[in-house]
Amino acid sequence: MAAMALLAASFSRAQDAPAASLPMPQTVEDVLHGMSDQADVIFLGEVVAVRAHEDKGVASGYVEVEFHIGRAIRGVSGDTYTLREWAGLWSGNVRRYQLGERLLMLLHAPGPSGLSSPVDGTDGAIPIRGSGAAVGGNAAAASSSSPVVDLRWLGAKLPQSASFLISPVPPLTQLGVAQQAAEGSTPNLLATGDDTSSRASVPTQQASADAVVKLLASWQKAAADVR
Amino acid sequence: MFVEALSCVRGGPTLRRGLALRGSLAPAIFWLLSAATALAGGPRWVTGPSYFSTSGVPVVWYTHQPHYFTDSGDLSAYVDHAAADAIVNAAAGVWNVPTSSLTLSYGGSLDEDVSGTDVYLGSNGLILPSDVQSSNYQAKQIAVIYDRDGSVTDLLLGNGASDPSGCRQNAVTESVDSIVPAGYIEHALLILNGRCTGPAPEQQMQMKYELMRAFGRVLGLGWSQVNDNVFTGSPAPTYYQALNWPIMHPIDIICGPYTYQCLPQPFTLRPDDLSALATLYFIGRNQAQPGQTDTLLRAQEISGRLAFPTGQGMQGVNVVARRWHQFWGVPEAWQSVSSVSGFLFKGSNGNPVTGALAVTPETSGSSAASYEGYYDLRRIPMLDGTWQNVQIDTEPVNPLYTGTYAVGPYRVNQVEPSGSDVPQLATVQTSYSVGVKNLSTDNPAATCDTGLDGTEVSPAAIAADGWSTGTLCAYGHTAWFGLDVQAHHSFTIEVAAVDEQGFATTLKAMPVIGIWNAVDAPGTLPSVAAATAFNGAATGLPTSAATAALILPTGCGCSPPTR
Repeated sequence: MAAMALLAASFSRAQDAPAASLPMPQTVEDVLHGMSDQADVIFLGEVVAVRAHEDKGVASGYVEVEFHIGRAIRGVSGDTYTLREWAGLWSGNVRRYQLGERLLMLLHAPGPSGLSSPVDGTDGAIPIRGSGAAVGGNAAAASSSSPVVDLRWLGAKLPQSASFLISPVPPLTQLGVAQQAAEGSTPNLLATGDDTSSRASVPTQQASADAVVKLLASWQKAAADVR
Repeated sequence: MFVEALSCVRGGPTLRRGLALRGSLAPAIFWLLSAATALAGGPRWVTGPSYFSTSGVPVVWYTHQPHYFTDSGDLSAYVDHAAADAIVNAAAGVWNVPTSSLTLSYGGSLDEDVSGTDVYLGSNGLILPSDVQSSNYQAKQIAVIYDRDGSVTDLLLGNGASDPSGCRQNAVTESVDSIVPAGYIEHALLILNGRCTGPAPEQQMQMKYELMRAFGRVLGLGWSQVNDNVFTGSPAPTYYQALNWPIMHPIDIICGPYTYQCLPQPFTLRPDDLSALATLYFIGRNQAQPGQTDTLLRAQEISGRLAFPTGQGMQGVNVVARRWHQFWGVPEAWQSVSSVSGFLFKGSNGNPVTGALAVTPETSGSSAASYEGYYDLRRIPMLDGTWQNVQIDTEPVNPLYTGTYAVGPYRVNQVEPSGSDVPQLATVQTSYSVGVKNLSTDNPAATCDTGLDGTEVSPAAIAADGWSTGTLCAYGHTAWFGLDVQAHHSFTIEVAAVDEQGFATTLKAMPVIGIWNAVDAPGTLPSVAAATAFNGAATGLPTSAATAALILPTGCGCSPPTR
């Protein structure tokens, strides 16, 4: 119950979002639902290996990302899943996944080439925080707290207003050069009420992994019932 | 990949170590502060050992006149070949500005109408048409594929990836598929998903917008953070902040079905975009060719180091400039240009827990200490008048700007700067002026003593009560501790990253833990357990658990730790 309450709270951000002319997601749950609808493979897993195969060049190559599956949700069975991505997505060999990283993966089904990728770019590789079992250790010894799914990037997909405030033109106050050029003086320049610090980030949006799994499973069942 | 990013670099956090000890065998424990890197926030990549032959230089195109070649077919039923070329020309043309030495131009058509039948899986990997391949870079530098039915996109990204519902992400697929050790980009691919076009003109405008941003990436520009409240919405952004929100912002805001409609003048580069472009494609004084202007004509450059009181550079902090007109009493209420401190500094090549990583452009960057904390506001345009002041501020990079959205040198996680911002003023900046302004923050971590940390061959002893705290500093620093545990017992190690006030945080260090047996050979990977950053239940806490009975060999319980 507590987990569901957290989920509801974290999904409530966009209820005040303005209506769009076309159907737009209004909650993080809507966003997740939309991504779920596009995904053929869904699981919670941990990256255990990354293997590049680029002998014939980046554009001709692929990168295998092997996951240890913690929770299989859709289109996958067994203990492991190997995602095969086009090496071109790894421009400059930027590592898209880190060893040991735990993710909720929403993937397209492999195409005729066997290649696939997360839904909505890397937004479909959603971080899981907390309560991981140790690699090579005894999972039972790890914390019993439920892990959470970090949904902040999904929150960034919610609509927001694009009407911007008209800021006042700075006053034309004549100041002498010497007055302005006083090196080392540190005027309180930010006392303009205009704090553009990025400390004010998108609010933290996390939900229990168990609750998210239940949602994904229920959507899958609903879709199956429709079929 | 991981960088041995160290506490001083990441804001001088300390580690609070809680050890639940039950035993007397002798494993050795290691932890360090780590953050993976992507050299972005200005340049997308920076040269350095050992992949590149140069060091600390942004990776740029091998020619100042790369040509793009377009698919010979149509983009869709709504956008024929000529119309598609017009979209591409318009998107590329945005990057042709007089203050840059680089010119993108149309080179002609590809030899074929590329489709899913031309791109397929062969015995040695994907097969692409020969003139699209990177080996053909001298003739065709940038191949633009019109994926009329989405089949190429589906083939590369998976079934259904070309679905119009995913057009914000998959309208354009970009890949720089050849970067050579000399530090040059030789070739790139752009795949336009025709299913993202349609009867509405706005669909084609959105395609142009996505393609414009992709061209920026292809040119070697990283994502950037300026006036980030346009993205966060807090405080409510002004029109001028939106007008100075860089085209190379990492994540779009969504105000409706077409994101290009969410910002004013969406096809005009901002001062920050021009500054980033100048970082890569600079035109020196009196070097401008016809149609160009010197990069710093009626502009100035300010660079320097953001450092701790110890002198060590503070890395991963967004440094932003606001212009201050000579006749104004206050600076502009919006940021113009940015640079992330340490953007030229080297990444990592793994650590004792993860092992060494492959040598790649991502692991590059200069190892010179002077670059740690170095920033460069390459081109700050002048207001009218004969001179201006420039106010320089520091701010954290938005924690969402990680992974493929990374801004600055850190990739897996961003860091909260040590100390708070102190506005600092660079005065009387004139046309062509190049100034140095070293920066500091208010009340940062002032000391760094790692003297009590052990080494791999001589780990320090853990306190009897199992608790200890310390500060990790310096690039590549690791801390090693030994403890005795009995066989057939379990133990848990918790390492918490805390800030200067002692509060647990995920925005400072990213500690990782490895556990070895005392008898393990030096240089080997953890044989007992390893834990990634922040896998614990509490904030800032990685946890590593092991059961001695399963892993630790018996018979060596009394031996002293050897690593």
